[in-house]
Amino acid sequence: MAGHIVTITSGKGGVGKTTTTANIGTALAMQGRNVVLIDADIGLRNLDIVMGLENRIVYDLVDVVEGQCRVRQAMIRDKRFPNLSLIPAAQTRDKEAVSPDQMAELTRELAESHDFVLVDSPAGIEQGFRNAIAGATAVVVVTTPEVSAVRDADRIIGLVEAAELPPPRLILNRFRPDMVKRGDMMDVPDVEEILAIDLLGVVPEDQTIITSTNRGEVAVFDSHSPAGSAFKDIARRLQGETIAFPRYEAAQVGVMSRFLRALGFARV
Amino acid sequence: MNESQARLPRIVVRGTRDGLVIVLPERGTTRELVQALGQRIAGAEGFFRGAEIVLDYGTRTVIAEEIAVLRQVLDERGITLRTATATGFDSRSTLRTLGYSPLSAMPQPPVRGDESHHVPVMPRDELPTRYVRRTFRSGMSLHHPGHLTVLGDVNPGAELTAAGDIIVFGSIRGVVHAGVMGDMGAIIAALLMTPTQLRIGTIYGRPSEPNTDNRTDAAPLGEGPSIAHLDGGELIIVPWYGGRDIPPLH
Repeated sequence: MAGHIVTITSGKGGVGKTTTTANIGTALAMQGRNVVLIDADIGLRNLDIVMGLENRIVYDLVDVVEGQCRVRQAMIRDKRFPNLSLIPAAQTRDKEAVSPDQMAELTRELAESHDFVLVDSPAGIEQGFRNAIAGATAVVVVTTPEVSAVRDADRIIGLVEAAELPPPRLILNRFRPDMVKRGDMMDVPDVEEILAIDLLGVVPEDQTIITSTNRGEVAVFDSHSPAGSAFKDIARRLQGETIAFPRYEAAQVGVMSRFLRALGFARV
Repeated sequence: MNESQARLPRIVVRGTRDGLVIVLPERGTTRELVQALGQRIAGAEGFFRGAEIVLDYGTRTVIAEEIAVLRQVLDERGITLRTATATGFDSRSTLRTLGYSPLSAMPQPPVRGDESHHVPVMPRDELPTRYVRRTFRSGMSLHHPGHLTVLGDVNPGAELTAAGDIIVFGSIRGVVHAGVMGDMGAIIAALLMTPTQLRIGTIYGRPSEPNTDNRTDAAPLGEGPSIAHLDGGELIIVPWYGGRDIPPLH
């Protein structure tokens, strides 16, 4: 059976699509799956940097669709996992260099030999986005709990539905329980109510993401990173497992209630 | 570039008792419009040379910058812009501000706040009614020249317009305009009413801000079935419990 082709998209830029793709991809590989990542953001190549693979690029996505090289030649193997590879975007071309049909054909071909093909979509709703969803069998929409990001996510969900793809699932990224508690940020149910799609995961704001991204490492390697563990849960849910959603709460909890909670008493 | 040309908005030219009228499409960017207009004229240079025309904005929103650009396109081709006109009340008043005199061929929208003068073009009971089962997400819009019923939500960034009433079995969070042709007796009803903006006839209303904490889209306002109508020229939203709360027809 062919693998899943999962497109990770958002509408708004800067909400963490690339980081999400890198982390889910790595988590899936850690969990023993055969994974290939495709950076569909032609002209604004990033995924290779986040994965720490920039200096190994010889061929890219445009070379593949133009027949300049074989697919295998453009697939860069990950530093740690032989079952994880990346097809980087071209940096010197623009989005028109690839057509939706070519993307659909390439992803379908890769799905024959991989459990997961993850496509990192560019921001926006134009050709780059249309390329990214062209072959998708599932779509994941990433948003942050900001009104503007949620608005764009809503637009993207409408476009995915109009493209007659299965209903997308939602990742709420950079969630800050302390801000929710102060009433400064939308809570998970607020976002769910507007977007009305299934939640795939909530990723808490985590500074280790920035440091790991800059080093070309991914947060899922860090066993203490709350974001990393959220991404691991997401990877399991993508494989069809049912994983309970941890409840993210503000950190400033009293000693006593923390003690009680550790014993499983208090819910506050 | 052939592909983009195929998708240019359509510009219609009509000969009327007001002379040559160029009808602009509702959609399309200014750039597309300029391109389309250029092509339309290029097809018939002789026909248009020295002509005096009227630009009809129809339901398209009038923007001062856009009309200036279009005027330039016409000037360059030796065409005189006699005046510009539009259907919507706001577009017409914008045009007046810009020094144009909109044609009166269209039914004149009623004076703001004066509900008694308005007579609907067709009895309200006889307007066609459309039922839509879907959620309108950001960027989606629908216009219906009668009453409109939606089973689903109207999200922020989405827009519904109808000549008659609009009933939403779901949440209104976006922009909803009932009585868009000037019916001041139209109503808007929804199970949850937290709109970005509501409009009835020519009256605009947005929810009063209950507090300064306006950072989320989900403000606790109009929770529970609500109905919006005009009362003394003001748009009001009241809880809606059943038939006895439906405002009388004007």
